[in-house]
Amino acid sequence: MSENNKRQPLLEMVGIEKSFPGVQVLKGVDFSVYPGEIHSLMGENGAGKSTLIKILTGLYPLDGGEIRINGEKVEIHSRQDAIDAGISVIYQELSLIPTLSVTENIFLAQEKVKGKIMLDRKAMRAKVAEMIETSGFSVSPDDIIETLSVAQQQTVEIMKALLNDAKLIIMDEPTASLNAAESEILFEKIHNLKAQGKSIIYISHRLEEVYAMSDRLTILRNGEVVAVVDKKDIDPVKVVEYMLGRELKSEAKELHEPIPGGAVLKVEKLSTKDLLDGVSFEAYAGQILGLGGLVGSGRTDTLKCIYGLLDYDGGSITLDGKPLPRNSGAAIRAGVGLVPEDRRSEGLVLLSDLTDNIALPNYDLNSKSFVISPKKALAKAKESVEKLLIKPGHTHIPTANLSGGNQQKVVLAKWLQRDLKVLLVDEPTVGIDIGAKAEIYDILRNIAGKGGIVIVASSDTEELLKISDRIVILVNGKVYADLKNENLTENDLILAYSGMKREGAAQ
Amino acid sequence: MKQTTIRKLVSLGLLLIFALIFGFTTDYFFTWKNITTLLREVSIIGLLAMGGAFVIIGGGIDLSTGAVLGLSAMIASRLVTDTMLPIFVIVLICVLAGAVAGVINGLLVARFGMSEFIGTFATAFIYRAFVYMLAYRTNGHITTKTVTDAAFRSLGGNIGGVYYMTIVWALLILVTWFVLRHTRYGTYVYAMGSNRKSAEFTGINVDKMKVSTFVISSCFSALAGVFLVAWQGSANLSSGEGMNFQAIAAAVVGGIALTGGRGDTVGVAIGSCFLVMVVNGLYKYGLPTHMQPIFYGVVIIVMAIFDAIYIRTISKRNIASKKIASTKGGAA
Amino acid sequence: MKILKGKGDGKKSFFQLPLIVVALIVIMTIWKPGIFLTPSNFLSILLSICIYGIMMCGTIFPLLNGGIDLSIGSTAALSGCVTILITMAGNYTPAASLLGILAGIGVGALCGAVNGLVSSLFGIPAFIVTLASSNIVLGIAQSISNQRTITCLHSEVINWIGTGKILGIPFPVVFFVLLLVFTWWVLKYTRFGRYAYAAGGNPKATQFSGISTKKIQIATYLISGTTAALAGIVLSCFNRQAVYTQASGYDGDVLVALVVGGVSMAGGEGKITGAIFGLMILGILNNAMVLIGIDAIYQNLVKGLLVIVAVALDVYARNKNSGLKRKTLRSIFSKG
Repeated sequence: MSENNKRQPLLEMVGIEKSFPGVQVLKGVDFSVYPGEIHSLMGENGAGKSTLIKILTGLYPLDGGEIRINGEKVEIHSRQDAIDAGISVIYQELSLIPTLSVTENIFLAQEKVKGKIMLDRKAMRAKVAEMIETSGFSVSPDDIIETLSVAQQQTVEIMKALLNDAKLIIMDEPTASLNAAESEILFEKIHNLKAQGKSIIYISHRLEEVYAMSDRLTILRNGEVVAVVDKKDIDPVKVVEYMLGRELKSEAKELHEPIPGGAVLKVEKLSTKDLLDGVSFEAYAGQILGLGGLVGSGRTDTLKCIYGLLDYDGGSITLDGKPLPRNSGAAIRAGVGLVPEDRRSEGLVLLSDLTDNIALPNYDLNSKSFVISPKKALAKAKESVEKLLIKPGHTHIPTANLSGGNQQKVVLAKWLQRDLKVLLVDEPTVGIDIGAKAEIYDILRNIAGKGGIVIVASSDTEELLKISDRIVILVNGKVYADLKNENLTENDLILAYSGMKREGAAQ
Repeated sequence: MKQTTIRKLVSLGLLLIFALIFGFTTDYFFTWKNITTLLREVSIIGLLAMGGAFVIIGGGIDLSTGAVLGLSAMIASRLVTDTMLPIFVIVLICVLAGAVAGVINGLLVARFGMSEFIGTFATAFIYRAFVYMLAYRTNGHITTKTVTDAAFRSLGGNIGGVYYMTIVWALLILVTWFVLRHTRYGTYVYAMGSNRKSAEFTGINVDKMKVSTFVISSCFSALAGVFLVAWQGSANLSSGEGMNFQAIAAAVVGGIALTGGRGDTVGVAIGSCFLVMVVNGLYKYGLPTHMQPIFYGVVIIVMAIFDAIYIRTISKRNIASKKIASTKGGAA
Repeated sequence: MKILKGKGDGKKSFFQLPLIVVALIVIMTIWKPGIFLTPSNFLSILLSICIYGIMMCGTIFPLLNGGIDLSIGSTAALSGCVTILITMAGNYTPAASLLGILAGIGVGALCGAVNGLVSSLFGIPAFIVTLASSNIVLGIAQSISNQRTITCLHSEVINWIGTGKILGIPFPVVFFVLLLVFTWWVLKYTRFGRYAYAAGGNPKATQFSGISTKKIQIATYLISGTTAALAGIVLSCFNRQAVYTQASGYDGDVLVALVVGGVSMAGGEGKITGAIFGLMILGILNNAMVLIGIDAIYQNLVKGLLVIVAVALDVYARNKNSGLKRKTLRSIFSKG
């Protein structure tokens, strides 16, 4: 409704279509960005955001539609094409060279040369100094990357983008690894870039940042644009509704109460150097406690601390009044198990078969000494296959050959062998089909029902609402909310992750 | 480059301390003859170390440098004695042979995905076999033939006491330092060794770079082989055996971290001087030759531990380094 | 879904190794009739296999764990020297001999422990650590033996170990077989064996299962050093002398046997049954090359090529299963 209508968009993506075998990821997406605009791209995981960006940066070819820069059609088939078109991207995983300097990194693969061979270090240094001057960054041209903080490294990435005379800079979750102060500085820089006439596409799950900074929002859902919202029309609740596409609906849910006389896990003022800042909550036998929050909010770290895999320097963790040991081997013997976030790299030895994987932490169960009984291990494995319906059921297959759902069942089978008092689960059903999901939820419910304490960390709000009896929400390493799962909606959760509340929401 | 400067100063300091010790406790150390003789030995190891440094900075390792030296020495010996080719052509052929060896090494690692140490460990055997094939035989027995061509032998000669090979070595230090510090190629070598993933992402052809570092390493080894024969007068089956180990020790002392991405050839030169000087000094003090590998081994382990601790300290200071995409193609 | 060689599939490729052994025997019988297929020749092959085999029983552990031990040859030499020297110093009495043997074993264990500690505590690649320690240990062996061959003909214990027979079978063979069975048992029936496989296959996941991969790593090198010592001692007993060059090149040979036998250098894969056949192939190959009259240097050439081929195949098999893009020569030589 502003001068935007009179200006020509810098970037127009028109009718973008993209399919992968079996699934259409983008179904005719229109997306435009004006010069000097901060435009946020929003949507749940799987909505199509990263695919759209990958098309824009030349990593994926598009199947349909057109990309226009300043009104003219462009073909982007490679990274170089994107750079030539003035598009730069800064991913969450930085791509810098640690032992080289800021200047060398900025100019990497596009160095200035004197004559044909010799590097023109003076000229490069001068340019970098100039960029630092104009943008007010707090690094100097000769700093070695590995001595800089993450925030500073990010500014180097930004400068890399600027060097290419980028007109459009895409930032993917830039504040995920920054603290509050560093984030503030980043926002300042983004505004500086805007003042210089650059456009920014901002992708983040931290809603309050997005709302504060953006000139416009484009919300994707299931590969389609469901809304384009101007700054002044932003209503946090509505935005989340658009993202989820679901009505505000609370499902009647059967809540479970703690088993009287059952075990209690108490986490008190847990703090780590990196992230956690006084996390406190309790978990009870018979209940599933859901742990929610954004990436980087401290869920995985909390679980790792309980499991003894991560060292903490403040607070205490006790089970029935006794402190839990600080190494995972002892923690297992004390009755704690962890299903890790990444089942392929952390949960299973893919080369090994089912029997070996299931038996790995459990040899002390079958025999007291260092001698093991392959027969018993095999029997236990077969038992697990039957109980958990692991398919295919041959215990000699390397676990690499199983589907995601079945792999996760193997990881769970590991822990089901033991009479665990506490089962910690990090992202139980990532990449798993619906059928297997339901089976896994049942397994978790059973464990709680038998008197175990189950804590589930998940990025999937639907899942969290489905299985948790209580939910603890972490924001930036602190507990933001500790609620019974009564009358909660996904919108509540998503807002809470960014530190916001729906008006009139339950406490 | 602060860390590299500190490291070089450490090596330089060590060098000076030991030089002073030897100088003041013996009366021959600071003689012209001794210094030029030492420098001559330094040039051979120094060339190997310099070439090998390219590979190590790039994140790999070359265990075949000694074998390539031996092969080049044998080729030179053969060509000089059996053909009428002019000297510079012979030198060229030898260096070319080195280049071929380097390409083989590089392809095994880049194309066939072998880990560097197994690849070059195995090719060392292969190159040694070639040395054996080319060796002179009388009645089926291996004999050593002395090279008598005066023009060729003059390569191993000296001017005013300073050996030609030392001069060449010194010049190459400057050239390699320039290449590593002031050309794009040099920057890419450091990038590849420091963080291979990021380097690839930025569009650097890492495979091509890998092969090139191996080629450089083997060419330098080949050159060293030529000088060795020119000076010594003959090439034998075991020429260069064990030298790759010394070269690695020299590089490690000189600040080249085995993890890659750090160090430069000036440091390597200092390390080479240090190594040869100390070993020679210890020898004169009564340390038998066979104990020298002990010294090299200890040096490597101590410096590797030192570097490991140092790098860990830097990483701890910055949680930052966890966030950069990290893959290191480290060998088993 | 990737299809890895499961134990089921394994049976098919499992027969490849014995086939190669049979093929080699057949070839050699035809090539050198009367010389190859004789009891005395087979005995010499058997004895060489024993020595390599004793080493292999220990060195399989670091390899399964994803590492490597290049110092076993030197350790064998040092241990042999230590044993013989102490025996001589004690006037060849049984007590002195036994003390010497214990000391030799202790030395090997110490070398292994140091290798393990340095590589696991400081994260230094195993090949550099063991390469360096190999040189150090060899130098020590040279020094204490004054670079001479030390003969030891008068110790009953030493003589018996080297040439004594149990039920008609030479002691070294019996010892090797017992050790082999023990190793097989450890790998299959003890926690440590399973942990070694797991840690080699995925160290992170193993840690997540509460196991200290550092301790495992140190232990594997300790074992490798100890078996190297045992092999060196048996060798010295058999030869009734110790010399620092007695096991030179053995590290490469044992590596060949293991790699050809299917123990992947990347860790986590390999069975001792395969390694046994790898050992046989190595033993027969070595013998064959000597009988044919191939010079030592060419023998190394053959072994070098064998390692390259075996490792390349292993890398190829792994990459095929993980779907990595195959690199073409063109892509390596193209610009940027």
